[in-house]
Amino acid sequence: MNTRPVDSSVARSAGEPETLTDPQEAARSLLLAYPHLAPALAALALVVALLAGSLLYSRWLEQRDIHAVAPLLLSQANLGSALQMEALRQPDLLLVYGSSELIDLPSPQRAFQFFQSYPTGFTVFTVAKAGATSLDIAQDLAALGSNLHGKKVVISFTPSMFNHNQVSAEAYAADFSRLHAAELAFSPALSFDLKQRFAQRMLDYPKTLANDPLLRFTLQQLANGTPLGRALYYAAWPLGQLEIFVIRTQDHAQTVYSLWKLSKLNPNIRHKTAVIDWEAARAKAEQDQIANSNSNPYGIENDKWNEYRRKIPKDVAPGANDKDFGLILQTSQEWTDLNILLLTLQELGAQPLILSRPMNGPLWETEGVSASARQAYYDRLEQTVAPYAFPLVDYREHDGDRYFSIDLASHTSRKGWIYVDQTLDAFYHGTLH
Amino acid sequence: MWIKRSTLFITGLSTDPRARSLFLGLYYLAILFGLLLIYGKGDFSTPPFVYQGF
Repeated sequence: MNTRPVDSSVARSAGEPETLTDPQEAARSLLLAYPHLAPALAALALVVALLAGSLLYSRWLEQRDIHAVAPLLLSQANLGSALQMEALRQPDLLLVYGSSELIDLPSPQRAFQFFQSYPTGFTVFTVAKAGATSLDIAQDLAALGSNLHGKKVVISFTPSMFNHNQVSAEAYAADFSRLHAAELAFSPALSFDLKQRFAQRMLDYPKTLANDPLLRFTLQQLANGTPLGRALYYAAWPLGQLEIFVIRTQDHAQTVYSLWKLSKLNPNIRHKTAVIDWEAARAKAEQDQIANSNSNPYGIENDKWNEYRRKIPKDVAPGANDKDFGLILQTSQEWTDLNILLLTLQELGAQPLILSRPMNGPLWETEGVSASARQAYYDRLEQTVAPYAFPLVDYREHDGDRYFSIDLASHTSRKGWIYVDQTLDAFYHGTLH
Repeated sequence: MWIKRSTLFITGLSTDPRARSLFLGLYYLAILFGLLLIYGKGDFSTPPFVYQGF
């Protein structure tokens, strides 16, 4: 047996095969031949251990603070998944996804404030950013994957989302999350067909993919759909998982940093159980709404009326714009995206509530859009959601109520919020009919 | 004078296998921590929001 330290470089150059059989001796020889190996491995092991510890710490911190950050609308909750995932694990948090209708109009009736003290045993965890559309929300949900199975989740939007041909590149980019896009592209919980539909739409916004060649390549292969494309997609899978691991870790780091910055955060939330008198709350909210919009006949907030007044067209005949409105509504790409969102919810086995808002009828009349034209929105929405058998609430009976929403975009008023809060409460407690 | 002493000290350390391994380990650790500092937080920034009417 060769017991001498072996200079393996010499051995290799001489073409002699290694004859060592003692593993300890072989390891020692290896370390002598490569003096950088042991220190590098030790440093790497230390960093891996540190990373593992940091991840455990971040999970602990997220779990401790999730209820305290629920009403704070942290931007990391929108762009990352760590907080959404933690909220999903909490039985007393109801995840609500949407856009500006969930956060505009500072008022105590907004769900994340209304339920802040858990009056009926829960509060909402709002994931919303102005301008978010079905495609953004679908990516948020796809990133949660099979964790969504059997979980209640609320999808909120307004009819104004369908008053455009499609979401603009700028608005889409402002809500784009690379983590959510990558999680979706490599999601084992979604079918190839659905991922292909996602990819085809996401490639319409190439700027969001410019800094991530792997994601762009993957989406191109998904959209391609040929056998070669499919093979290349699966070839990229391991790299994709590595990328997701890196961005998830970064998400945890960013979340911890965000929580550290909130130094006065109190994780011990006081619950105040109460029986809500919905009629009284609604009457009070309507009173407040009337007082705050008494400068105009449309329910627009007084402080916005001067700006809005100039935008209201004069002398438009009733129904004069029905045709244009109907054309944009029927051809809007948003219906495709809403279908993708509904399919995502279905494939992930979620229990969603689809929550639309009514149009502000009196205001739309000034735009020359009649009630019959507006009805087309409610009908199309109902037809789109029906095949999935998800509960849908669109408050169409409030289309003519000028105090339900505060503008053309159907941003919810104080009174409207009480209706929404009551719906959320019933949905959470399983009493929604 | 101190340069000469330092040089001798470092030369002495570099000939000691244990000290050399220790310094190499610290060197790699510094590189890895540097990478973590640069890329650890990632980039979750988005372009400014452009209001589209909803």
